Amino acid sequence: MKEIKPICYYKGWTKYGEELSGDRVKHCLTSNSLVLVLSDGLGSGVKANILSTLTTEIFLTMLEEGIQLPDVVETILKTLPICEERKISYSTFTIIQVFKDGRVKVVNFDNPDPVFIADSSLLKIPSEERIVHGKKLKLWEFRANRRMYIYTFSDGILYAGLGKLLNFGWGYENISDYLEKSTRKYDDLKYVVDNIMEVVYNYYGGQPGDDATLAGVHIREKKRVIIFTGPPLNLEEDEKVVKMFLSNEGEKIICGGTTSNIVSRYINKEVDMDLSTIKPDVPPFGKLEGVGLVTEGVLTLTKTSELLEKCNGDKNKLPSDKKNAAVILAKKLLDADECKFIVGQRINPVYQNPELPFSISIRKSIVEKLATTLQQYGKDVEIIKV
Amino acid sequence: MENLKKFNVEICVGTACHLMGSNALVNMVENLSEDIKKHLNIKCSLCFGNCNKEQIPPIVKVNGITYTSVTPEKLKEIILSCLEGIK
Ligand code: FES
Repeated sequence: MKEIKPICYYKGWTKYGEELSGDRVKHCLTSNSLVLVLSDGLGSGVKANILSTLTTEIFLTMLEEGIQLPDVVETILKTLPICEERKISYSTFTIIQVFKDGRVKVVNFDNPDPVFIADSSLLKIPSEERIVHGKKLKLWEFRANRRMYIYTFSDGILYAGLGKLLNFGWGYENISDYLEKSTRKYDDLKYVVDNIMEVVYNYYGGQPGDDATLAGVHIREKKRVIIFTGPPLNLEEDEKVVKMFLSNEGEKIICGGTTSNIVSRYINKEVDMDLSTIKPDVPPFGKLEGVGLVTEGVLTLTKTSELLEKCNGDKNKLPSDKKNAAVILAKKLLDADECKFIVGQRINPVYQNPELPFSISIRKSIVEKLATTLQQYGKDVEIIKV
Repeated sequence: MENLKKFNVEICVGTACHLMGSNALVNMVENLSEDIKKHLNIKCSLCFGNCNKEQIPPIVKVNGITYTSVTPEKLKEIILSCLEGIK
């Protein structure tokens, strides 16, 4: 993997009858990594909540300041109070730190062991044990060189169904297997976590007997898309811009008839349109060698922009129509971490054709609107005007 | 086996042509009887580059000849007369 992009997602249930959860998950981005902390305060309710909140906050604040993980762990373990009666610490924690260069560090103190899944199979990664201030920690350190999922959860997940649907609760092995299967099937972090939390809820019969939290980190290559839309202002620039477009990393998309003709002429290949994808409000789409998606320009971009605004950044809320250029484009943009637009400024004379009863919006302003929405959803967006 | 004679029907589905009704043209062509359709090479383009020459969209090319401001009825007529020609 060239450049890593970790993403995380988590969800939790609060113990039935309690207002506050004793589990706490939070994440942050440091200058070179993503850090996720899951902490489970002893017991439940307010006291547990305060303890786990404190633990996560100290972790994240110190790591954000650039303090190294071992030092932070030391500080925490030194300060964590011990329960007088049970002689156990008031709060457990798991930290997952994924660096941009692919290094991964995981530290676990008293939570169930994290589950590692790579290439859709469970992965046993040897851990190292370390005693710090009399407390036993487990550490994993490795380099992620392929797509990977790391899940961490509180013991409320482990005991889901205990004494109700399942005699001894769901159990670590069963959960690992289930995580492996759903990850293989859906390959979508949010989907897997939501799905498993649904199962947990049902095992508890809708009344969780403990705070239960699941958090996941998905490590994958940074996804880039590059969209070429509109012919360059200067005719002489055509070839230069096409070369720049084709040499860019990431998935290539063309939005525009004239634009697709320019690229098609340059590479001497025909655009292969799929006529069955025509819609009353969106023209059809096709393919071109080396280009994953070719669509019409302003109408499709306008529709895509609308869809993106409506779905609130959640691709599961997009219409399911697989034969609609705007839906496909919206999905590709939501899947990407980085979206680059090459926007040609040549005025299309057809827009001045007096026979047209419609006013067609200017390409530039549609792309700018689209870019703003994508930025709101956390994408890196770049617009290159040519 | 008799060699089936075919001719090209290219419909532009670019911005201007789509706005001016190429969707209806595509639907009309797709709903033609199989007997007619088997003689057609249906293709579409994202812009013939003609719409800026003061030609009125939607634009269709049948057998290489450009037709402008085409309606479904007009296109059907064109196709039927081409069909006559090859029979
Ligand atoms: S959009 Fe049809 S010829 Fe240009």
